[in-house]
Amino acid sequence: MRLGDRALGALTLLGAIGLFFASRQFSPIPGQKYGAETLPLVISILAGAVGIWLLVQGLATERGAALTTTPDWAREPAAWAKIMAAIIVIAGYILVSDWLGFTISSLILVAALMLLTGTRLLTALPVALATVIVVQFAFGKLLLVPLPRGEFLSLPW
Amino acid sequence: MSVLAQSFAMVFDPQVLLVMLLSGAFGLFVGAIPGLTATMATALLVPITFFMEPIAAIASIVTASAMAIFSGDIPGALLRIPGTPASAAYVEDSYRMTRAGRGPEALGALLVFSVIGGIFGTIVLIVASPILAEMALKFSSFEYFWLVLLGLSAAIFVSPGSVPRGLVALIIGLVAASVGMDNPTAEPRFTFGNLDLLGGISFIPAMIGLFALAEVFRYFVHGHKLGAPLRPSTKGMLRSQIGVLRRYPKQMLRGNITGTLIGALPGAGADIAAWISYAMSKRFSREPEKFGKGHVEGLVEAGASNNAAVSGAWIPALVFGIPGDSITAIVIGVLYIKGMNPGPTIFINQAELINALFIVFLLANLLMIPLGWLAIRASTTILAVPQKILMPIITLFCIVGAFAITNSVFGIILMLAFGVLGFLMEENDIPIAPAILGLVLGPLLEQHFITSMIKADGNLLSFFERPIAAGLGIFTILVWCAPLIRRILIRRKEALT
Amino acid sequence: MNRRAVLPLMAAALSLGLGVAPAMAEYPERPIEMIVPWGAGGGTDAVGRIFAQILQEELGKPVNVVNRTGGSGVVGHSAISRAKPDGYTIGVMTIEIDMMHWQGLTDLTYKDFDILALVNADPGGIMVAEDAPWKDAAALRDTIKADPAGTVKASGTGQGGIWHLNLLGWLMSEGIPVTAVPFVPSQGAAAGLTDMVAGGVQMVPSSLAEGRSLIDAKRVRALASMSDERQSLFPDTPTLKEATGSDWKLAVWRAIAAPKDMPPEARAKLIEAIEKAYNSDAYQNFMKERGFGLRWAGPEEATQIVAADDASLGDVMKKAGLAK
Repeated sequence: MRLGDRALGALTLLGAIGLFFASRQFSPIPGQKYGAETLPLVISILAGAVGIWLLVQGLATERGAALTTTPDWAREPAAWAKIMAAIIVIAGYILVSDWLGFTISSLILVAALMLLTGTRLLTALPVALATVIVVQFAFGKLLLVPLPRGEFLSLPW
Repeated sequence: MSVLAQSFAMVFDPQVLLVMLLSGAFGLFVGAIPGLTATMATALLVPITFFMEPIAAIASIVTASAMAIFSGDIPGALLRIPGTPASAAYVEDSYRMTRAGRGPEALGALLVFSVIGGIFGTIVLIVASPILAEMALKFSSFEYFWLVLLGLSAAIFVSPGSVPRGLVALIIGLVAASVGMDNPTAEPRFTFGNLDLLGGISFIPAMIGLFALAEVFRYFVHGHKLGAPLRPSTKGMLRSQIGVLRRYPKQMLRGNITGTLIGALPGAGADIAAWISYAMSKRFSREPEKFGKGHVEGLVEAGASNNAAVSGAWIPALVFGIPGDSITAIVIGVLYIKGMNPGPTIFINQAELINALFIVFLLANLLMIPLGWLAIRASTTILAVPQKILMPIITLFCIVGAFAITNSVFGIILMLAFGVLGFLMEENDIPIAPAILGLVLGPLLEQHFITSMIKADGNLLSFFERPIAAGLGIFTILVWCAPLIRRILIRRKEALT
Repeated sequence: MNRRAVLPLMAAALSLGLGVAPAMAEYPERPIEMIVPWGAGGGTDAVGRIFAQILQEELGKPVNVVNRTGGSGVVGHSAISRAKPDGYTIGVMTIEIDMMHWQGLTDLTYKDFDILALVNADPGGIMVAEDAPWKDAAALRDTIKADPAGTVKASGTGQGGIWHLNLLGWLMSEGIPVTAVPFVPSQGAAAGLTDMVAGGVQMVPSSLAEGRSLIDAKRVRALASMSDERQSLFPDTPTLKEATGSDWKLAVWRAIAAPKDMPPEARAKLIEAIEKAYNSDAYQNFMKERGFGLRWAGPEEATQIVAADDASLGDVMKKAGLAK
């Protein structure tokens, strides 16, 4: 879904108003006129101006056009399903990696994403395994990134 | 002359040369992986340098950091994952060139002009350190405020297409930058009681999300329609740069000078240098419409600029022990341990060590050509991997890179959120680059504004009271008003004729 | 390579199936993580990395530094206290642990940690630019007392940061209202010192070690050290007591801490290794070269120091209205 200038302008303006009120909960540095609220306040004013700019520009050029346009891909449920699946796989990694450990959870992640891109299972599994081993060695062993060990299994380094 | 001979002997010791070669390879490797920064490469080297001779220790850090800054450009060009915020300035151009089958050309340009920038910065470091360091000491928060504002105005120039949509991106970046408590007032903002958000949004996970993960999502949606980037031969990659150099000598020189000067300022560094240079390149270009669509001109200027800035950052570090960036902050510690105490007298008291350091700098930059060439050759092979296998692997790299910054899953959460955001932004023709700019420069803007206001007791006029601040301020305002003034002039002309 | 992955898998499955935890081999049997709550490039990171390097030789297993930054140290300190107390996660604790809970950022205090040792302490100081009119701390104090508020401004850390508190504590000890010297927040002492040399502020109350290169370059003058004795690196700089008669003292320290309830065997081994590492030539030389102060305190004494600072900083923060 692509927002036209009017829609985006209205959205920006709305965000600006929200930010303006949110910034009022912060307080200036004791004894000063400025403080934590200054930057959000300035951003909200800038956002308001940009929102109005977009609205005006949209009203001038988009007369009669729809507020939003839908690109071709967004009409295909399959595309939506794929992108949602990818997000879920990554979110799943975030949730379980501490518990399962890097080795298992990243193996699942890479294999699942490969199946999603249409790779055959027979190709996906060995490639995923090789990738995980290389990544774990390079990052965990050589570069000392503290990849999660997990409760069950981790390679001997 | 015997001092110089002594210095040469120190550097051209087989052990030092071997150390340089190894740390060069190490730097290239670390820099090319998203999420692992040049700072990280340097920090990892420090414990090893304890056991080295002074020159070998410094040589390893100089070589590794210079290589890492260049190789941050490689994933940017090949996979649209900028290795550093500095390379984010021109990632759109280099990646589009790769998609058009001109990847090696883009990388070749980045390599050659990185080397030129690095050498130029070194020469300035050799001849003008004391003067430039004095200049840097004149910069207080007032001057930095204008400089950062100038950097932020680059957002308008770097966004291709609609200006207000570019500003929307800038606003997104600025809002993200205001999260957390690492602001001058130390008051937590927009943290919703979350502990991790107290630390704010680190820009590298955000950057990986906005650029790389968004690209993965785009692949899932647009899939085969986009087609894979081509993998052309790397033959003549370096030779063709002679032509580029002939076409854009002015751009190269401007990038060198801007980069060195900004790099020498302790509060600025390679990021601001690259963005300002890229914006300047577009502003003065004869073909500004080509920028952001795979044009080499901006790569020349900004690529030279950020490497010049890396050398420039050593100027205040050597003369006053003031770190120009996080790499030199580590370096100063190593200098002390090795008995090379920074200070104006270092140039006289330890002439042979300092000369050796300069030679190391020049050698490291020259070494970048063969090593960088090999790295480009090796890395372009990944373009031969089919996209459907490559994309999941990239995702894993993104995850590990984002994790490595915060050393917790919080980095991955940030990356995922910004990945979705980046995808939505692109679908709406909102450019990514200005959002990165806002995220990187937003905190600096706030810092310098608030501290200036405290110093001046809230008097806005004080932003023009110091001579350098006044000059920078007037310049910034002129840049802002330039389009308006031009429009008025054109209208006058039209009215006359 | 395949086989290497399969073997531990089978072993793990076996041990799970039997419901028996693998017998505890002698500690340490795998790499140890050392959490540093501050970023790469800073002083705490430098101390943490050298310490990890030496500790690794003592323990015979890698000790890996992990930076967990953000939120003025809250994120990293929380990570240390919440880690599994198995002896495989330790961390560098800094004085901010005695400040963050007063600010209302977290409930975490030093009581949530097992403090193993104090390995460094740097006394606060008073520094002014070389071209400033004050030749000693008493003259500076008199100007602050006599002239209108805001004549002297200070910088060196963030708002409510440790050097801000150092300034406030000093002013209170001299009976000067805390509003007399506005504090300009900065990103660390180096930025504050640069700003002072550029004429932005008049004094920086950070540790003298942080201003060493500028002091050597004759751009910055050290007026006082907030310690019991003069510092060996700065023999000409008087203590605050000598300079103005004030009793205020403050030193930032770095301690090695672990989550509570570690196995006693691992704890004893760690403490022994830490003491050996502290006394090693490598550590002693490193700290001297960098200008960091050497200070040793074992578990009990370290905990006492941390507790005393917690009380005195809490007092200053409450009086200055910085506590929540």
